Amino acid sequence: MKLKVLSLMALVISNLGLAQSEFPAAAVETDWEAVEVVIPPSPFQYQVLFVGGEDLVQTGENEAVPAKQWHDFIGFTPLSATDCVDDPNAIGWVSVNHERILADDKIGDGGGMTAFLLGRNPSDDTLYIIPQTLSDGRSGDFFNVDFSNVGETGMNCGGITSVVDGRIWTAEEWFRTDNASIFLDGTGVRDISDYTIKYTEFEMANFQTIQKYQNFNWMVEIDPREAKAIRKQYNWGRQPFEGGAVAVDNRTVYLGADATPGFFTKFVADEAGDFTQGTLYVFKHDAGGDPWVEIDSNDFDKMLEFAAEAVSGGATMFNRLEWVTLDKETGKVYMTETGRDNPASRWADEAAAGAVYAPHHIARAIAQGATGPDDAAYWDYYGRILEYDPATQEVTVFMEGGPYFETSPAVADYPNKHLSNPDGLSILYTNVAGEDKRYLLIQEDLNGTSFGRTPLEYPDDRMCEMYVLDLDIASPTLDDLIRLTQTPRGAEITGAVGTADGKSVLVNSQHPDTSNPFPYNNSLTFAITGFDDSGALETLAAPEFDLDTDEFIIYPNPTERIVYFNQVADVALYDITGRRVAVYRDVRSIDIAGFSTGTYLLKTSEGETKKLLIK
Amino acid sequence: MIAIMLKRFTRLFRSDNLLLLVSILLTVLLISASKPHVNKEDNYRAKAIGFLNQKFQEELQYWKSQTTSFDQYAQEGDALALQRDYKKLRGSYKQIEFMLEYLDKEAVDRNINGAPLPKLEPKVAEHVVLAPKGLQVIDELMGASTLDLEALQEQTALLLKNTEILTKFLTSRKFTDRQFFESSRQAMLRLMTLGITGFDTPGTLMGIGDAHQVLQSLKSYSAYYQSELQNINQQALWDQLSKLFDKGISKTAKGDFERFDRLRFLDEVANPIYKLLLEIHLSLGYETIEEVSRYLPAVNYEATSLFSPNLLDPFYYSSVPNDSLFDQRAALGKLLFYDPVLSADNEMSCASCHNPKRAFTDGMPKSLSNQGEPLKRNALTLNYAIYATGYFHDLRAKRLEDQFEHVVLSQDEFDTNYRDILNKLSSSPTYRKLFAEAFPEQAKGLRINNIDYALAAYVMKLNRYDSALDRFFAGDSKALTPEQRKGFNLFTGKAACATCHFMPLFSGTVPPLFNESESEVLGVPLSNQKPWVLDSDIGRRGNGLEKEKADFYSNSFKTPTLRNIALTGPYMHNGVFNSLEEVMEFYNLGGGAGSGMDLEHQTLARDPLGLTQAEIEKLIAFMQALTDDGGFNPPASLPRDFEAVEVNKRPLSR
Repeated sequence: MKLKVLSLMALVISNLGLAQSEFPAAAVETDWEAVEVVIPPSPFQYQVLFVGGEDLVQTGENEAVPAKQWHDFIGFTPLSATDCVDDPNAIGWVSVNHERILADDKIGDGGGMTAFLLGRNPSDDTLYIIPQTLSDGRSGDFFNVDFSNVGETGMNCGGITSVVDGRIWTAEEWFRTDNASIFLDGTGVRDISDYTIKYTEFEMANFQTIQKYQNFNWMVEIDPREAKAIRKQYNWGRQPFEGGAVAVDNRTVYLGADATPGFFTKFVADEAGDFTQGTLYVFKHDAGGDPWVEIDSNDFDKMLEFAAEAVSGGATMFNRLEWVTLDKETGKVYMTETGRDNPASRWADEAAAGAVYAPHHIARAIAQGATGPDDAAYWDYYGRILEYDPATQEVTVFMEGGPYFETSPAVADYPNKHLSNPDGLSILYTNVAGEDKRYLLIQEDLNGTSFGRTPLEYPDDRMCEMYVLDLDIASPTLDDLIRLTQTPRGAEITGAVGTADGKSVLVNSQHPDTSNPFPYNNSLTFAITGFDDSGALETLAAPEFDLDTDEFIIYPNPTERIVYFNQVADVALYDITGRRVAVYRDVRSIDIAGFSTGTYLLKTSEGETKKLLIK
Repeated sequence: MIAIMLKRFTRLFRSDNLLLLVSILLTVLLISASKPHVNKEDNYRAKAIGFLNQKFQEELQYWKSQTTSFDQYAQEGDALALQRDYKKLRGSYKQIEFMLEYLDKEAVDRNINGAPLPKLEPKVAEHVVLAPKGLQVIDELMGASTLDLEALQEQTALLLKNTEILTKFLTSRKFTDRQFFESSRQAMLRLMTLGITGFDTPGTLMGIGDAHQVLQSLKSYSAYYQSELQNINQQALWDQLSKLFDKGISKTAKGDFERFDRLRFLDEVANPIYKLLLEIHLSLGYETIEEVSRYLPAVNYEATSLFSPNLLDPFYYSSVPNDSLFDQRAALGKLLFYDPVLSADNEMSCASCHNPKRAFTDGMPKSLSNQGEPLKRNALTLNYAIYATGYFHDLRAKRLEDQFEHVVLSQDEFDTNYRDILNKLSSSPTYRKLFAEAFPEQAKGLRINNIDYALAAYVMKLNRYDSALDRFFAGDSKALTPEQRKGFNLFTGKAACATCHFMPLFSGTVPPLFNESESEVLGVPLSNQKPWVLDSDIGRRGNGLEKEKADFYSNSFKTPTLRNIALTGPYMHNGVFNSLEEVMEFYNLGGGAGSGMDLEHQTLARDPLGLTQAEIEKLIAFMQALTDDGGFNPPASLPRDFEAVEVNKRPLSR
């Protein structure tokens, strides 16, 4: 076999001078005198913190088992003045969701969370786990969050990190409608007897007996310091919650639900910091005047049947609302609407029953030539990011996903200018060279590969990316997105959250499926460090080229590991031996993340050459 | 009457041809309008790839116009025009199918030409069943004895919408040379595995006719490279290719599904074209996928034949790294595979149920537990097991290396856990050393993942590709008996075996991308006593994965490889059939549903195959040509330097 391939190659080499490609497979003359462009190593440090299935979580005194997998949301709770921690380098607690329903004698049936305390080494900014002993006697590095006092938990997807004080809620997302779907033939929640709610702050809920599955799909506050659940938020409605955000007033909470239709919910506490008493609303854009319609949170039946209440209240329908985040400087709320390819059949009944489509879906459907969002031909392949401005009380499209290439010449720009099915969303507050900056962290979770959601060279893989967007940019476009990282193939990248010191972003890589060496074949939490003063963020802005010049100019971005060009070009890379190692067609940039360090020659089809020194 | 026809004619002219004309004009205008690099564009258009793209765009528009008029006839209820133009509609699609499939396989599968089977919507909490739609559903409707016009109208309207969306999206797409060669070679794989076997023409058996058209299309597109080959003094390559295409076109001209000699076609036409396209690609010096993508697909582009041992990359299916330590890991894996130390009582090893002499099965209807009781299912062969994305009969594990933990933790099998195994192995200096050597990059060589990796590495090497059939395709024309040759043609034709047991693995790993393992509902009975009663094992639906709890996965089981089938009996997930004769009888009757079971969602066609006894004998003779030479043996000895003396006394094989 090998012989055949070799003979083919011999044939190729004999025709070298004649080949019809502008890029011969081996360069006969290599122009090593070309202008050298140095690409410094990435200023970021990458560190694996917590590996599912491998790291042990403390479930009791002297009792530890491997952690659950399927990491999703990450909460970060900064150390406060009142915390007593021995290690002077401690920076705060991390809480990681496990999006699963799984029987486990030790961890507890259902999903769950893991909490741990992080410290930062002042000499090199690396992070480390600080061992703790909790008041219940458990001691170790990683702690299983105990949900036994609120019943089980399950499918813990998104959550809330309060911008005020780092309080953490976990969202029980995947909506359950019967006990069988949590019991899972005994592999999930094994105790499916009725559940009686007791001793909560919610009088309307106390001593209500509900079916076990109905005790899922609430927002649940947890205490990361003690690794214990505090309460299920029975007064925020039972919904397929994915994300939420607490406003600076410490009274208002915004909530998103991952469903079609998904509703946008607001809770306003009577007193700051006490979320057990207050008023619950659902968003109705066409209510006339105030778009927030109250839903009686003192009526437990209404809390159980929140979606039905929202529909009969004529609430605005969205196509899978996922994460919600809030800019503490402007008060504006951002939410991902992840989209669903053909949503028509999913919300037509609700529309008939009184709920209304978000205006942007009606506009999109009409633009596509469909009769409306309930037309089977209506598509929503890419999703989008929405903005809610408390000042105007309007939800608008902040950034549309895509583009759908018909309207765009951006094929050449793929993948760095393509946003598909945004899911995770949070804001990093950091100080770069003396200036306070806010960056939106956007993570994809692809619903499919079609229509350009993954590049052609990755036909059967789902390559999810994380982007950064500078929130100081007025009316940003897709061009302003900067690609930060790309997860192992098959994985979902999610949970990104900034540490309070603005130095690191913690990220989860979830359920990778093939071909990644350990530990990247497990769900894991990793840290990207260097956002403050490493120079990483200064280089993040896409280069602005002088468009008048005919000269071929390249600009490497060491952080993104991308080399930008001032024009669309066909280019090839040759290694030091003159062997062609990569070819890119019709591109405005190339991704060099996969290349080992060394010297390469970059050649365009027009004959321009540059020497690349990748460090 | 004439007036009506005239009216239709003018309307046709308006809707189709005018549209086509306008779109061509627009394309030309657009191309000439995008000016910045005049030289490059001129150069681009003068080359093969420029013409090729132009042709593709024109044919894309033509397909759309055919879809438009076909829908119009459906909405008008014009049955005559529908019958008349159905072939044209299919033809317009088949002409560019290979490019559409390459450019956006998911869009084609979901909306244009997916298998007429329901699928689950990914990434959502509910089980939303995506109803099949597109050309294959239309094919079934058009092939039915009475036309269900209402259903057809719904389908054609949806097809039109989806065609419009896809054409709009693809209007700005430009093929590169590399992509053209990849797509055309992928088309040849598809034609060999799915086309001529009748996979995607369930209603009308037009597979050979479709292949005819695909070959014509491929020839017309490849022809643009003739002048480039002349430029490098390789006109001969084009001559060869052109001759092979012509041979294939004439062989498929009759379109007779039952009498088509697939073996000769593959050997003399299709495989040589597959090889020649690669040769031309490399001769012209265009880059290959290895130079473009960081993550390579399952199909190794350098392979020259559907039956090349290197066609599929084992490393695509596994997370075991492909590096210089692989052989060392596999050697360690081999020791572990045969070592009963992995089980709690030091008695059971992987080889207890996977005996190399029986192609790594155990000859039992159902494997025996550590207490000697029958387990739930039949042991699957491990030869060629790596090429899959689902493991166990119910597909509950998705990677080979995730499969072992099910055996380790099962009370009826190894009845232990990884911590105990690690503790035991750590007490053997030999194993400590072997782990440290095989996994030196990790501070602690001995960890959970590494046991799985080592075992997976061993199993990844159990693919010999040296059966009689492999030898035949490698050039030994006498490797197959005349009976086996006929059996091959039945297998890939009339008997429809190859529409589930896909070449070249004869398993449910779906070509041409080979990136998904299929399961099927066959109606396998509880026992071989007639009347057959459905086995109570619900298979895939009960595999514990929430995402796969769909009704159509009830009684669905993995489609295993048939390589070494002569050694792996008894057959089916429950070992209900003792011989291949019994298996063939079952299929010949149309499976469970065909023999009277109430099994609405059976995925095997319930119609009898109508195979004669002589044909069945030929089929079995062919299946016997799938037996490898074997040559896998247990290690000579096991490490016996454990701290615990009783461990050192464990037997090498049970």
